[in-house]
Amino acid sequence: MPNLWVPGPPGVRAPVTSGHRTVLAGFDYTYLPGGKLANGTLSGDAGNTGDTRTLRAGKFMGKISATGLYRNSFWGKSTVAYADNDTTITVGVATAVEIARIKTAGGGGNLSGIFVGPPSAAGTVAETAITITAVDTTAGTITTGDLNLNKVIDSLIGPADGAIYPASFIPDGWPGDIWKMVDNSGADLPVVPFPHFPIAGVVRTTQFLDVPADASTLAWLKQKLNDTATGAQGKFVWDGQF
Amino acid sequence: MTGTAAAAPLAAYSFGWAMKHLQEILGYTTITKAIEATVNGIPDPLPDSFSTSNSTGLGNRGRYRRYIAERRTMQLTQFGAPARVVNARDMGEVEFVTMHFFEQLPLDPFIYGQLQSPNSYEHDGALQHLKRQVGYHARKAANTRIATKLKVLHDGVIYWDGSGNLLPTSSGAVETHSFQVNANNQSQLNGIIGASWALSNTNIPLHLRLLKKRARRLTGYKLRYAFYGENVPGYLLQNQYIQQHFVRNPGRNADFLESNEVGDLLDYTWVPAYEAFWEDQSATNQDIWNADQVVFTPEPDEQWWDIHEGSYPKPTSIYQVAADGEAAMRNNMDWIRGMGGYGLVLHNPPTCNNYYFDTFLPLLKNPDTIFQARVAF
Repeated sequence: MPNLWVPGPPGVRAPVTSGHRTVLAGFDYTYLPGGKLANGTLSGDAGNTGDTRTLRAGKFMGKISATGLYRNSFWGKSTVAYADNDTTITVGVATAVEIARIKTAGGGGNLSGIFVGPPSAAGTVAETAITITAVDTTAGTITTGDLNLNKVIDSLIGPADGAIYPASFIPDGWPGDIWKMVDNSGADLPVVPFPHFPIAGVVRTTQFLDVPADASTLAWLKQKLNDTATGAQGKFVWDGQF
Repeated sequence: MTGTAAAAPLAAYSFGWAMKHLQEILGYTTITKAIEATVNGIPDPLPDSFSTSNSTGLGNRGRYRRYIAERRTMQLTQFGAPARVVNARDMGEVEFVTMHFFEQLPLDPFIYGQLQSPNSYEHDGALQHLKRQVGYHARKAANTRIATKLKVLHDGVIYWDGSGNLLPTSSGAVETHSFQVNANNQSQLNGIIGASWALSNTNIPLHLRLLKKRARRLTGYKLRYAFYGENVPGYLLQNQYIQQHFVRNPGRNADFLESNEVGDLLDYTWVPAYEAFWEDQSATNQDIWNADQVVFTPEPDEQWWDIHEGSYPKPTSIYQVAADGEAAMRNNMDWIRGMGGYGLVLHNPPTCNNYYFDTFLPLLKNPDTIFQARVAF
């Protein structure tokens, strides 16, 4: 039941908008029969300003190896290039807030993650294990210590539990209750149905979320979505290929 | 009665009365008709269409849905190829809360019941005075609608102090009611007013065309009105691009000389708004319209502007015993839309109060449709 009460003093509020997203370029998706389940507690969409616990269409989803539940593959991307001797990665405030939430949900201790990207533009992509010891939600940074490497801006950051490898994504439509990871009082939903689980289709690169600007990182991402080695086995054709 | 002024009155028949001039006791002075030193109410320079209420609601809160309509074109497809999947258009929702005003004017029967008529020596029985004061009270509500409506169009925001008094600026504001006008629609309109109109060589017609173009792109609503401050006609008349139009157009010249206002010019209807004001709580007149301000708007339409009237419960009888609370509320209260009032007599001691209320909001539904330009800087 939506909240019908309008709080606050007189005046007009800023509009709240629902945007329709279509990742599908043509024909129809092939969905996995039976669907899957998502881990609502560990899922969020940092870029969905004002409603970060509702996942938007185009959010990559990966499988948590230990439980078989799905969560979003990427918390976000680096907004500044990472240089050797840096002890923090700059991710932006929204992503930092989401990572802080995940860290708290896991008990508040160190959070394990994967930092994916090349050391230089279009270079060889490396999947670097990181340990996040602290999060600065004001500066938009996560503390990892010195990783002794470089990574380009827009490198991907996600969990180390297997979900970093995207197997599917939230399909087309309006952000809706079906993709809310919390109940109506805001409490985490440990398990959320994931009935529309695309496993094949012609997709639009520009409509995905968390798409990296670097060409080799993007190639890594596309390959993982169809990668039998990581168990994805998707059959997605990207519109930019032709 | 005789007796020297310095001596005490004769004890036998002075009775201790003070000495007065006979005219102080029996004198007669003509009373002519009462006047109003100031006209009742404040001026409303806007066309009546800006005061029309098309929506009403329960209480003081509401929301409306907002669609982004279609202005895109289709994508070319090779004949025989499968269809492309496309996005639907965004839609959203806007919430609002109305303003509410509720005042009580005490009317003391012991005073009003013992007054003369304002125009003669006859006993008025309080009728004319009361009628006038109650009418003034209702007029305050109408003034409030005018002033706040103009403030929304002029500034996109209304300021109130801690006592609920309307403020001319944010100075001293405790409560601010925002109407979400974008900064690009204010001041120099993000570069459209590229030079001050106070300079005679400024290409004002070009600014106006650029504004039309911006309005079409932003919302699509065609601009119609230009509500202006008192300096603006001077800027237009001295402008070298517009001057020639007046010189070669005797009819327009005559119109201007007769009215001292702009009228229809360069595809806008120019309406003077500089007379708008209100009297504040310190009896100081507060101008609403800046001398160099021009606010451009489309023709009023429910798609972007309305006077939304909320509603307020008004008692229809007092101290009536009903079967229960539900019956009492159902039978003795009406929800009144917008403006309303009632009188109430109390009995110990006898007194009377006039109550007046209003629940409304100048609802700028689509703030991108108006442009609040400061043309001289």
